[in-house]
Amino acid sequence: MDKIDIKKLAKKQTKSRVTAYAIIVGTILIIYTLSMAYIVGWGFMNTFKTPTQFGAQPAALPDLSLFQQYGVPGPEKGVRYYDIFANYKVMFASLSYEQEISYITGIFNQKEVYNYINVSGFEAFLTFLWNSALTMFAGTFLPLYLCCIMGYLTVNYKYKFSGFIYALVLFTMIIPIIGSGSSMLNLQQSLGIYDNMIGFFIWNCQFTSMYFLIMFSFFQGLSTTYFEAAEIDGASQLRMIIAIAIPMANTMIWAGIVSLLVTTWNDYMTPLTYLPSYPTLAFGIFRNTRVVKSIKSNEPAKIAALFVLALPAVVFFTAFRKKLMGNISIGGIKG
Amino acid sequence: MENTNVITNDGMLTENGGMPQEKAPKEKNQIASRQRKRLIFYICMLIFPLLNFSVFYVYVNLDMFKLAFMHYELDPSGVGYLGTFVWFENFEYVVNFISTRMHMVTMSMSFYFYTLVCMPIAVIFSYYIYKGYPAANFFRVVLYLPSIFSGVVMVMLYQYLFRYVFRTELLLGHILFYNVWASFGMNIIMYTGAMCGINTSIPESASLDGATAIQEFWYITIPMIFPTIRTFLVMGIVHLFTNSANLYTFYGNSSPLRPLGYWMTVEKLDGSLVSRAIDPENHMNYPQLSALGVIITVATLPVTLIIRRLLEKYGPSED
Repeated sequence: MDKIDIKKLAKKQTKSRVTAYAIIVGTILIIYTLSMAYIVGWGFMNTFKTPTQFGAQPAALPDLSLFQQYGVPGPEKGVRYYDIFANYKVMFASLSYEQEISYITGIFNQKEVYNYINVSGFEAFLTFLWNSALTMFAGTFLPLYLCCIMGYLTVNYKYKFSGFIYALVLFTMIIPIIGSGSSMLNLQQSLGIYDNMIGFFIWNCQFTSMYFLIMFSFFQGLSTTYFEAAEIDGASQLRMIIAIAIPMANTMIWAGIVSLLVTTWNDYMTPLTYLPSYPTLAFGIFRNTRVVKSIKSNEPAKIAALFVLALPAVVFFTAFRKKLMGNISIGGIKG
Repeated sequence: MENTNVITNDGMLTENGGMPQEKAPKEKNQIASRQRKRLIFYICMLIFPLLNFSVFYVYVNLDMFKLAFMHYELDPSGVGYLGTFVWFENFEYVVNFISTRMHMVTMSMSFYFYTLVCMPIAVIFSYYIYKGYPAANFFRVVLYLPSIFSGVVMVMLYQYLFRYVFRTELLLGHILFYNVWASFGMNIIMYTGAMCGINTSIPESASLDGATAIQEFWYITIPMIFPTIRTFLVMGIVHLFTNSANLYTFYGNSSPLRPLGYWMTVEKLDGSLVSRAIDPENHMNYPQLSALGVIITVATLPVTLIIRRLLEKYGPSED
């Protein structure tokens, strides 16, 4: 087929796709895209405004003449000039939390607090980042690798108990049990793992999630030849998991990790509930924008805080876009 | 011909696929030893996950049931609590409490409305992305963005933008609109993912047989992704009374709108085993919250199972 025919065919195919449905849906999607772009762009633009300008003209562009160039004094006397990144600096300075100084006592390791010190500024920011990293690790790597191991065990060890484990996971996903939050808090406080990072790690080692089903179906589809050959060569059971099963499932695991990392980065409710003394960046910004005086009435600084929170997620999304938007399938499961 | 020995599942040795032969005692011992080690390894690997499950799922939910029948007071010595079994006293309190605040329940049910409205719209829009209509890949990226930004970020930007129109009488509409707008993209992505799992030969053969896009959508796409649709509808019912609709992100613990899910979240965060000293009749302690949880579970469970069964039986199927 020559070039002219190919072009005509492509043009004909494009024309046939421009139906009323495509026009209506496409238009609404464009409006949605513009609304997203507007709200994000508007917010970002306002991080470079002074509070007065924001209050007077929230929809206008920033008056950059008010901002002092770095190291250069402003041309007009009597006019106050601002650092263009002033709002970000105010935001960093406002980050704070109360660090408790405590000691452990009692046979059940009850924690007794005897003092609080206020940590603020960059040190608080680093603490928030570190806590975010820990909670992200607890919320992603631990449950996913555990789901992988449990999926492997359930598929490759054909005991009746494996069938029971599979049914158990389905049960927990289908049957709604509501209102156990207070019971969970009560239990964690009794065990001494409430507001405790190690306790949080232990609590997150759970396999009853949809990722177990994903790993289960993955290992079901995987040939057992690899494991049989390894067993014949003398590999131990543990070695087979570490050297064969986990590496083979790595793509699936990392797809899940990438997806969960964004969720746990943005989650402020779980640290608020179970780790109040370990504020993450999301929790810290959520709380500080409502409580801390220096930022509470400074709207542009509050918006700057939001973008500092969003930046790592956007960078992460850009780097792992294909994995995030890839499709993870659960095969052969009905109902 | 090379001699091949095959060990069957029950440990019997066969030669060249022939009848199993009685194996030597030494080989029998080796097989039994290997199987025993396998079993021991299996058990050891399961200990921690099952223990964790027993404590953080089984015990917690059993404790929720037990807590619902208990009443606690501060120990006179000042250390710890004294618990007494009070039968259905907490349940009675909860029923009286909720019956005078039915607006919480009706408001929770109104938030399910947006699930029912969003679902068909999201499916229709997902079809656009799935079929690769113009700029589908670009829209796919844009639709994913709300899930990248934290709920805190999106809510606060939305509040700033619309603060001049956040009048009390329009508040419910605003909150509903925000929840639809913020979750719109993710719903589309989920349904698009389900559609991408359809074997391409099926719509291709339908197209060759002269099926239009609408016919393909109605007779092929919808039935094939119906398990996903059904899952989302059922999950919506499961979370009917626990959905706080981002109100905590909007207002903290001082929202003017108080659906049941939001109210339970606030009470859980600020509550304790004993009743509050101030204004106890407008709050619940942990045993009363647990009783509320039991009532919601008992009410929601049969509805969930019935709806699921009806959708399985009468919903479109691949056949």
